[in-house]
Amino acid sequence: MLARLAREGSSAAFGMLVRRYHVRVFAFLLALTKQRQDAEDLTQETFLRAWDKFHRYDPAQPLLPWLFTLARRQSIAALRRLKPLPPELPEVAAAEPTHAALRLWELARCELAAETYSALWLHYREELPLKEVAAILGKREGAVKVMLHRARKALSERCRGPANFSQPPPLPEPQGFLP
Amino acid sequence: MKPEPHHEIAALLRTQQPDPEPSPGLEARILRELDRRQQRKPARIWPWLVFPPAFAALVLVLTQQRPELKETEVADLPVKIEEEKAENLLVEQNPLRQESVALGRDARRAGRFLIDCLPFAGAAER
Repeated sequence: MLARLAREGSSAAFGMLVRRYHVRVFAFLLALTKQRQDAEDLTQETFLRAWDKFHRYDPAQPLLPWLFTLARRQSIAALRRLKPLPPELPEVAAAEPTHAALRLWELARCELAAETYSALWLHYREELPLKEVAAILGKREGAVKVMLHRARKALSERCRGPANFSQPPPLPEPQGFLP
Repeated sequence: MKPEPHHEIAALLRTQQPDPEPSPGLEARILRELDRRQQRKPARIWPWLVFPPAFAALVLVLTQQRPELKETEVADLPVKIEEEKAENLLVEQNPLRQESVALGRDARRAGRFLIDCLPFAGAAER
């Protein structure tokens, strides 16, 4: 309903959509870029782009995958005009996750490539079906399946067997902001 | 249904998921930028409505202020052709001298012809 109103040009309805979805779009972009500041800037650009291109959105389809697709395109465009960040950016020290699952997510974030981690995020965090994950990432469904399989295998090997899942190995040095 | 390989990893990933939070001001920042963009749009339209008529009016005023040219002022004045000093080329010793004089005349004629071909400002009104 909100999406339909926003598509007809209601900025109030679009504001509600921003309020509802900006955290999830930000989280996806954080998975994709692994940089907090970049993810925030790209979230803003994604919503501005969505407002400009809302006439292209099909209201019969769910909105979130469409926003994720826009977000991914924005991140690719940003990568093309990438300027290297200054090396001495102050990093926020994040608390080390205590729960085994959170430690595993953190391990995945540090170990996996950004695209693989974002596929993992969309499938296991956002619980999107493989078909939609593939559409968002611009890949074939089979390729996403293989990517997820390799990611699980890599994580499994890193954890050295199912017995150690309760206590995964110590995390490598963080490379960016922790979510 | 066939369980996915390394299903224990998948199960563990599903038990609890990270919940990254953006900066508190992000939502306000997006909405502010959106407002700014919407306000900027009508501002782009008014120059197109104002400037073309203003330019047309300016051209009209300038053309009306320009003094009328008299008919004989420029175009119809006879072009003075300077008399060349009579030279007796027949007795000239240097054969290239004749050639250079002839070429000089041709060049002057061609130059005059090209200048005559140039349109002048009041041509359209006449």
